[in-house]
Amino acid sequence: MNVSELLGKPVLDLSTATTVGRIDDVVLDVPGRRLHGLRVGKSTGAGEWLAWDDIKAVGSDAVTIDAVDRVGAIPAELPGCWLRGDKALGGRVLSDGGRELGSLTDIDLDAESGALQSVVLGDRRLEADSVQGIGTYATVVCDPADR
Amino acid sequence: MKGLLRGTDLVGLPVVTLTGDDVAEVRDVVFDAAHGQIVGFTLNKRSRLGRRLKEVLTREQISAVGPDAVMIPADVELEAADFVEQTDGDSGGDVIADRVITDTGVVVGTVTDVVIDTGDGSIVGYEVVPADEPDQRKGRRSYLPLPETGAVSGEALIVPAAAVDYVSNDLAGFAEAVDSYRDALRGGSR
Repeated sequence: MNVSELLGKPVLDLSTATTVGRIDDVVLDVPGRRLHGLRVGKSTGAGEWLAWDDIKAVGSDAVTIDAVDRVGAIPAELPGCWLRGDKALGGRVLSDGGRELGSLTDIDLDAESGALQSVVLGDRRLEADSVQGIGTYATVVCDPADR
Repeated sequence: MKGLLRGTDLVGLPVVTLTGDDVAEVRDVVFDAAHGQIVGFTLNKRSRLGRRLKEVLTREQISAVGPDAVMIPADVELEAADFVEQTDGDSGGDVIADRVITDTGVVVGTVTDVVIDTGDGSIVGYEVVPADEPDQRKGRRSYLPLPETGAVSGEALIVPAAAVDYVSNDLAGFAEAVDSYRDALRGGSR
């Protein structure tokens, strides 16, 4: 599952069979190497935040939740930046040696666990272990070619 | 040797934490010419009209220097400091615009920049305008290797006469020239 596929997906409340909103941004927990949560745009719920742990399933056409109250206020403290809002997606990628490697095309996640699997830089793919941080200026990765 | 960069190439580079946030940019590079080492960087605020920051970045705090960014660990706390005490006197500090003279008394040229090995922050050579270059401001540049011990600088910068044989005309081939010069020095001292 790529982050780019996740963006734009409707969030479906299974208890009422209605759409709560659409996913318009995501936050990664980089030290934990997993998806932390999603922002639900045009939400009909109490807020715009949907934590990864409150999701029932991610399908090919919708993200499902079992009750609308799963969607709440955005937490004050987030473990990472907004991938779209802070322009991490499409933003620059630096090696830990200070060399620019290109731009971050996409991020691959495990659809079951939300675990970070790899980051995509154009036609290159780097394993999750190499990701050092995703910040407001750049995504920092370990680049074996830089050693 | 990881890569060579000129001192002025570093000016304006963003200082980025390994978690991906930019905290400052390089305002100037501070050298200890006597020991042939970078002491650290003075910093500017990260904005278009970035003002000078009181905080500085010392050599020990830097995790890597690359062509596109200076990388620091996420937990580095920048502290206000003054480098001046460490670099004043005749033996350090500013070498730009100093004349380079060989130990046999021949003027090689004028220093326009220093060349740094980004692997360990040491100065491996100087960019000089050759003394016989007519246009001193825009003319060609040469790269002069330094012995590992650095060079004596005072009124002028003294280099061994043999260094002139290893002068390179572009930075790309300079790493090799430094290596062969230093190898030759080691061979000679044995």
